[in-house]
Amino acid sequence: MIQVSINNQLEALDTHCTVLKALEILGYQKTNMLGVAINQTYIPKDQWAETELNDQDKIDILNPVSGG
Amino acid sequence: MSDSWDVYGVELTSRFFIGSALYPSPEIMQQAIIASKADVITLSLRRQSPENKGGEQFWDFIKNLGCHLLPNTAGCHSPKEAIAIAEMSRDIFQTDWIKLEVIGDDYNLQPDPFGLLEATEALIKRGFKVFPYSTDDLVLCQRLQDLGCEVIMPWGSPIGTAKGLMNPYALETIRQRLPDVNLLVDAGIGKPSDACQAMELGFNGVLLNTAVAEAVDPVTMADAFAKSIEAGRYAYQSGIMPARESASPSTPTIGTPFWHQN
Repeated sequence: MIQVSINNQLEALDTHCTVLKALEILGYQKTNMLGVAINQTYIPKDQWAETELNDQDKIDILNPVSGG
Repeated sequence: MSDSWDVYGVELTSRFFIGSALYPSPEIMQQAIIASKADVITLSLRRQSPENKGGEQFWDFIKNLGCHLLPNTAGCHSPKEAIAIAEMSRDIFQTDWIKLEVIGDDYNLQPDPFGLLEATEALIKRGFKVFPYSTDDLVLCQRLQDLGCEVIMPWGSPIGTAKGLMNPYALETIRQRLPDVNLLVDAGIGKPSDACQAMELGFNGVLLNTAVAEAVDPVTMADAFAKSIEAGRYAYQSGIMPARESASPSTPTIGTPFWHQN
């Protein structure tokens, strides 16, 4: 198992869990409107399926909101 | 009177960039944006948990307005954070426009000039069209133009303070010294006369959010700002007379009755 922080919440996931798998496990559906960064580095959508998460990674999952 | 202008190769008709935050409801936000006749809307990205559907609802209100999207990097304190948010925004909103904000102080949300330059250079290299939220420092604005910015957005005063244009002299100097760049005042505008003043100084446009969203009647206020921005623009185009020290009668003096030169 690995332990990661997702939007500042600690989550335990299987070793070799990919970004795409994590999104599914956590219940994110409309992924076309999502952005993912690992340790403040942006991960393009086309890399979600093969990008594996590592222990202690900090993941941010963002989506559109209002802004000034 | 068509007064369109070119922003990074896109022709815009309105000189009003409007924000999408702080409105009492999504419906009022939508109506205010329509009333503003703005071509450009700013928006952002934030963390969202799976169960919170707020993001999708917001997006449904925005995407049908037919405006250009200008995502921001609000809340970023380092070039690295801003670059990551910019790349996510490009992917999600399908635009290479980015309102670049690198915040240097959490009390007045002042831009960090050094981080701003670093992030600007990196983002331009990655093909972004950068709209930097800047201070009204002439040298900083010159450097931003040197890096390739075709738009620069100096603040009028701190975000959300409604203090208007703190330093019109500095803004006017930037206009005169950088005649070819598109300039917008971004931040601190509180009332339509502030926006009109910015346009009278020769700025190409105004970006504001709080002053409309937190008005008692945001929809009518959006219309008021649209008219004041237009008025200031026409005034600038008409050539505003310079102020002078001594009075000068507006009524012709020749043939003044009852007056005898002794």
